[in-house]
Amino acid sequence: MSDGTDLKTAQAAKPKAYQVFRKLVGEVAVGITPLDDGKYGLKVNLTKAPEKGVQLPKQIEGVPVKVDVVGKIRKR
Amino acid sequence: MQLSSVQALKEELLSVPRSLVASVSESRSFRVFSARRETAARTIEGIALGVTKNGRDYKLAVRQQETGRLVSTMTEAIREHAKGEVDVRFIGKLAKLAGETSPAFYQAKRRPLRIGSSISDIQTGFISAGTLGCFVARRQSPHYLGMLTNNHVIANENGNAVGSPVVQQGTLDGGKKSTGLVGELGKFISLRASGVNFVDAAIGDLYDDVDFDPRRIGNLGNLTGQADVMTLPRLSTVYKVGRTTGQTKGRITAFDLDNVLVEYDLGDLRFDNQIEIEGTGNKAFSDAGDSGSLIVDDQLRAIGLLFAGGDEGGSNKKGLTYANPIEKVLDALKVDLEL
Repeated sequence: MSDGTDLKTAQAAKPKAYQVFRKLVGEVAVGITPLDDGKYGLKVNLTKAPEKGVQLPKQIEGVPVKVDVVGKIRKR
Repeated sequence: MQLSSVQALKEELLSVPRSLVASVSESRSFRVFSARRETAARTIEGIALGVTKNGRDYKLAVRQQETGRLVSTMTEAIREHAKGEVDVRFIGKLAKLAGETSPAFYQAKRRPLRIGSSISDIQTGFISAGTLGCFVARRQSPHYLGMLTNNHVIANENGNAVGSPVVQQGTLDGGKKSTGLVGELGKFISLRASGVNFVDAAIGDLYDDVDFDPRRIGNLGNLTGQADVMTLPRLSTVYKVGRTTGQTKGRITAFDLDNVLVEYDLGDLRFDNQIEIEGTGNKAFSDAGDSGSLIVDDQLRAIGLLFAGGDEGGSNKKGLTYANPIEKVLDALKVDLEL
């Protein structure tokens, strides 16, 4: 992952990240993730791994993106 | 499978000759965790059988209470007999004496009531258990005290009427109206099948004669207040005590998380502005039945109310847990933490 950004920049990139990823892989959850460098990135959760050949962006509007395949979420 | 098919299969398996299954107990002590409702079950030695929901269908719930070749062999025989339509989990045996970090401590009857204890509503034909998150007081009338948990734990996803009984332990852990009644359903925030949800929250009005400890959290110390997750130091350590996994430690992997789609009986519900947590080390932060747990930071300030999770994802691949920000929960219910 590239260097993180400040919180406001990461938050501002959330809607764009949702739009871009939704087009590529369908419904996703998008949030803010704290990074080791003390800054922030975007976290994009997919329910399943993307189809072969689908290239996912590594950053959106300069904000690094961490992608996680999280499967089905259920009430606990 | 249809519910009737799973129930018939369970009865058939419980009638298998003693030589195959060692012995059959008619005990109804189905020591199984799941926020999803499961029908009351009986046990084969070392194994409990029940019925668990699988989307709109049902599966045979197989809960292993012991390890060993006999249990493994029986489990495989059951799996084959059920044509794979089984949900197998190892749950271990409950110890009579359990430390305050262990699941058994929270699954037992607890007076005074403790943060993390097993609670549920009462439903005919079903047993369930979730977690008592903490104690709250109404902003308008601070003498009123309630038990904070999820809507789906004591309000049955909007299905229960205000005033419905709340028991500790949850019925899945043996709680009964006659001996376990601690309060009744008070205010709850309705879950929305369409549109956006922010919290899955409900309060059980606490009866006057029930003793409770409003502050103690596992063996960590006393609850000190609340904090907004956005203001925490980055990569903060968090904790929870819950009915199924006891006291666990984790770290926040995301916040302000939108479009989290969570499977309920009502359908897949959307939640925005959520907190995501992973367990530390090689452990999950939560499991089914931990719903309603209060999540605290390393200063023992409340930050979230646990309500959902999955088995995949996270840096340790043990799955992720989701929580509503505590300030959203308290504001929605118009209550404050009772400290």
